[in-house]
Amino acid sequence: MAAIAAATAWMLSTGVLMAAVAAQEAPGESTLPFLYVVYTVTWATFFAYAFYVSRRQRELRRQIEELRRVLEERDK
Amino acid sequence: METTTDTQKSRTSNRDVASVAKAVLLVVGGVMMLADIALIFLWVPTEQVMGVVQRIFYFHVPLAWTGLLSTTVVFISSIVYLWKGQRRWDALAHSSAELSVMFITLTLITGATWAKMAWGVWWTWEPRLTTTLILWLMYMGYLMLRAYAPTPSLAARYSAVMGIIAFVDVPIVYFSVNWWRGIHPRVVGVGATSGSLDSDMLITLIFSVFTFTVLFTYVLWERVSLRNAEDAVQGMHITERTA
Repeated sequence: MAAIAAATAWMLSTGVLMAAVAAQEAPGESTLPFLYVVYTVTWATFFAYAFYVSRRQRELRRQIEELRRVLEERDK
Repeated sequence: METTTDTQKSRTSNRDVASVAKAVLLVVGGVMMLADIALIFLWVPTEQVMGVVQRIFYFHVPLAWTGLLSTTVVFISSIVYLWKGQRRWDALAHSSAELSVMFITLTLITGATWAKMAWGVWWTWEPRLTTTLILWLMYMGYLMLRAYAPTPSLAARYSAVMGIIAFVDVPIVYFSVNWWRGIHPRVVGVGATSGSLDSDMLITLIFSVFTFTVLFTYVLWERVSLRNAEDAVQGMHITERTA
């Protein structure tokens, strides 16, 4: 659900931004797709990396808790 | 027993402070990112010769800056690791090297996209581009060296040496536009054509550089935390096996 909301917000905001820039483009110019590619690739890569790091962190924290429990039980 | 409890409490409190600081950094970075996008797409004037595609510049330059900043972090922390032998410096160097690869990759992609419009080709063996590609290959080599080293301590030592050697290319990348006759524009830094940037464009560029620096700091911090967690899990596995 959150992913769908984020994707919708992303598409809407990108649409608004590109429309705003397109209004400033001279007639016959077609450089907008290049700008769109740069904008999308930059932020998508950045967020994908940040998402991967936070997910892996959560997973490792869970593993640490499990291992701590195992070690404590063994010590008893 | 009381000392152990106190130490644990102090660690928990430090972790709480770090979590709050990270959350603040994320919020500040997020707000700056939105403002930066608004500046780039809605506020800054369109460049007269290149048109709207020139706006790629506000992504490309900050990405290149953060790429070089992260390589500097690798260089400094590698030296300190070899000097003091503390794992936290290796964790910082490793985390920053991963970010170097990401930011240099994005710099090359955004640069190639701009080049296609400006020069008519995606790639040319121009000094700035070539030295940046060499830098990217060196940091890929750094990560591969870590991955294939026989033990974690050897990985840390080999990669620290690699991190120092690879940094030699950073000033070469920066000064390549001055040292050799290339076609890469010189709009900022040493040798920049004076008055080449309109004041609104300069404000947007500076703001964009700050935004990317804040986001870089946040991701680096998170990556170092991840690396510490990985080390903790590895240590616990060893304890479990030897117990």
